[in-house]
Amino acid sequence: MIRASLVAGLVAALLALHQLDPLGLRTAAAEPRLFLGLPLALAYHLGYCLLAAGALALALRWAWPTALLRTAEASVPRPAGEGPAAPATGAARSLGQPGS
Amino acid sequence: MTLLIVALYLAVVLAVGVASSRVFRGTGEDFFVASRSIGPLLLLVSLFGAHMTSFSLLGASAEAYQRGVGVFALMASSSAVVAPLLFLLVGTRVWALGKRFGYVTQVQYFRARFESDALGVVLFVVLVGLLLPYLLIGLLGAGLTLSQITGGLVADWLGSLLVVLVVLAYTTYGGMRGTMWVNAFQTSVFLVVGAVALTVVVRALGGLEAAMGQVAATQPQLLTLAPIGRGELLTYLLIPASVGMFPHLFQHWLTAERASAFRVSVIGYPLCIAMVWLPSILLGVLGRIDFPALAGRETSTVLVRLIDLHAPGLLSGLLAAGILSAVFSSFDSQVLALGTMFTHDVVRHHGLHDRMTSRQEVVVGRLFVVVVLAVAFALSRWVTPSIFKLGIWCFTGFAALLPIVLAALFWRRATAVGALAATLTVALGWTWLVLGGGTLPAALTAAGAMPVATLTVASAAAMVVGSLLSRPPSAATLAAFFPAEEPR
Repeated sequence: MIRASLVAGLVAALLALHQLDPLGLRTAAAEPRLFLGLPLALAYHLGYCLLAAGALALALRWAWPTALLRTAEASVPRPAGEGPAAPATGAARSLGQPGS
Repeated sequence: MTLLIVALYLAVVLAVGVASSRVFRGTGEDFFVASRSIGPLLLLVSLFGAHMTSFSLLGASAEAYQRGVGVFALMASSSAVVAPLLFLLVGTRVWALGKRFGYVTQVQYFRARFESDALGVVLFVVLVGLLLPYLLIGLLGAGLTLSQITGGLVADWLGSLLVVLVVLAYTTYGGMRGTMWVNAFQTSVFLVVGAVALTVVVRALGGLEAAMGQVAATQPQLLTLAPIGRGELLTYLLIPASVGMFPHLFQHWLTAERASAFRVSVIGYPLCIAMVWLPSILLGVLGRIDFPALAGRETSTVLVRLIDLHAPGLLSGLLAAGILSAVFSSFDSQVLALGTMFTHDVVRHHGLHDRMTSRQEVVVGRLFVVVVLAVAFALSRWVTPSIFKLGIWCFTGFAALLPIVLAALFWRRATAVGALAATLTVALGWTWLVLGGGTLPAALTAAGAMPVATLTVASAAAMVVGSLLSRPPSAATLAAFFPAEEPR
């Protein structure tokens, strides 16, 4: 629960940084300022991409579905189209016939 | 010179495709999902290559030419968060289910999760229908580029046809494994070519600061976010959510050898996006200096025109190769996904394979792909919207289907009726808006809000209402798809 809240907070912060306009770049009277030769608006969003990579690295730690993936990795994969013989109906039929 | 480089590039692509077919293991699983044996780096470059198309080079530069650097905020920085987040939340879970149950297509998963053949049929039709504009983006981009760069020597229809033939050749030979290796090569090409093209053009214009100064003097708004509406920026966040429902990305997720392979994609994706979109956006804006009055479909050629003006010959050829790389790397995955879906979701699922030899099954699968490509090719002679607009409409449809996969993975109460209602809502809404010329009420498009928001909300509402009004999934299905979580 704590991890889920952390990830939700992180994503909310990232989205806020994307949507908010701390440098006043979206106002009609915005001057075309440059930063290291790049338009400031572009530099801001380029920096945002780098920040996103860092934040996603944190999200990986907090939101990695460990148990689910451990079960899958331990399972014997069913080859495509070579599932067991078809049970009668419903989910079991579809589950048993991946290639069907 | 330009044509020679393009011909050389095509020869290398075919050679990589044929060479990778030598490691083909001869099984269906290897053809469709590379025996689920792909490592982290190849997964990243092939996912990225499959996602990016001429939309990210020609479409992005054309849109930046018209609307400025804000296009980076609309598409690139939103994709940098939303796409990898979906890889983490959806991709890893889909991979786990694919490994446990042997899935190779989306429809197989949804049919089993929602216990419904009817849903499988409807989803198949809708997914193939939505893939058509995606295929069109590639065909239009390749045609425009080759025609422009050869001064009309290669007609745009011929360029489009060339793409179809080359892609059909190497996907048929190498299947998923061949496609992934070709994609790795192509992704490297278009990442490098974008950076080289930007460097050459900026040098020719007297340096970055001087070039930006020239743009600022005549079109200052292009260097700010002023042309982007608040509602537009907000709703564009939904556009990259389309990665959660692209059939070709779904199939790529299934190729990972281990779940940990996704880690590199999640962290590397924002960086790759920045590397591709930065040159496209900057070159689009700088195009205003040399070509101040392009209009309509002409704007899609601004990147090619710039290179042709400042670095004809060798670099023109390399740029064409870069654009073709971006086109091929998504086009091939889409072609493979179409063939896989038809073979598994139609031929095998409906028992048609019992009446066919293996060879006939392969021929029928390929015929289906050829028919879809012929339709896309015919449409490419007829459609008029820009590559960017076409891309946005295509992504809108897939993004609006996202509630289905989210509900399937995270909501035990989600049912086939809900999924069917959501799919039909998207199909009808999208058709009405795109083909029927429908328009949404002004309140729903305030401050530039995109139709994707309305369609996604409607789809989510249909999913919830349809599910709550129908019988819950069976206990067997819930036990299979929602195993009790072990403590960490």
